[in-house]
Amino acid sequence: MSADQARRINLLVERLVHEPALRERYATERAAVLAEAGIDPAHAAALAGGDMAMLREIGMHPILQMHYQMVLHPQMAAHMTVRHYPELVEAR
Amino acid sequence: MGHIVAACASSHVVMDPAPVRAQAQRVIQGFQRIAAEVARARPDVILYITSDHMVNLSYRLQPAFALGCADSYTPLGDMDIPREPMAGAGVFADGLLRYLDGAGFDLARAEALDPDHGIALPLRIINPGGRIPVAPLLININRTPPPSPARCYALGQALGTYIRSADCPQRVAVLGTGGLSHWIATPGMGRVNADFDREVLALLSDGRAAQIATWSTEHILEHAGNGGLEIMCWLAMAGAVAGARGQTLYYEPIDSWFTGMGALAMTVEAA
Repeated sequence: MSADQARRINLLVERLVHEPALRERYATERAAVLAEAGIDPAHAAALAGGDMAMLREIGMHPILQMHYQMVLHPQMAAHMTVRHYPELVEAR
Repeated sequence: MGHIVAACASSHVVMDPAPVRAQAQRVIQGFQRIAAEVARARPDVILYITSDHMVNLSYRLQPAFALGCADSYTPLGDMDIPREPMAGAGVFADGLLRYLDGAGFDLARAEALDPDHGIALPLRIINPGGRIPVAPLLININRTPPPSPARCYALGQALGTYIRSADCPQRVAVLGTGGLSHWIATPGMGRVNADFDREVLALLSDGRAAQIATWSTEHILEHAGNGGLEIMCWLAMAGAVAGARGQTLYYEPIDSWFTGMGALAMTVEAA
């Protein structure tokens, strides 16, 4: 994995987290988004699968991997919640 | 002259309590004990040292440290944390940042921050209603490379020097949060190193944070994982009250949460 490719991948993930429109395009036009970001198509399978070992292999930052899982699987956010704890959600 | 009226540290996350009811309750009680400590101390401001989960400090721009200088903050709302505003200690933070510049620590100045769970979750209990103004100090453990333990401890010492100076009129509660051992999206994910966590708690409680400051980043990565680097926030807190002893409030290695959880309160002189 070249440092340049890892850099491009991390910068793209960060944009995906913060740009809903890009996130939508990523779901429907992934190859085009990767090409625009200058990411080698050889990394497309790892990016599509989301397997952490493969994401690590292509140089994705560990914390961005966690954000990226939310991009691939938005429903995962429902499992990271404070709603089980009244002490944390009730107004005080 | 200001005073450090409370100095505490804690983990800063919770997860599903269902499989670990008793342990989860101990975590909540840990937050509540710190809340009681802070309430007893009647601080004017809370200096809140923590990590950022690449929400405010990005991959694109990676300062080692950043200090929030705003007058209010609205939580990001991750983990469904209510987006209720909290007061910001802008004037205090401005004075601190200027002092640190002269002391060899050029912190990034943040005029706005979106506090993620690292800040917003514990403060739901420790600072109900967000009434005590908060100055968030972010230690960027996700930077390549992260600031070293020695640097974080020295930063903490500088924080303490400022707070105890004539330039700082406030009563300050210093909180450091994050950790303990956990591996995030790295080999070892799921591991909890209770021996390491207990060693950290013992050293801090014994007033020997300076020993942790001699450790390398690689040592912490090996024994506590990349998430374990969040103990830098505890270390900076301890630096602010260098030499003080403390008391472990609880420790729970929670396998289903993939992390060691703990809290600590330092003994500070009454002011």
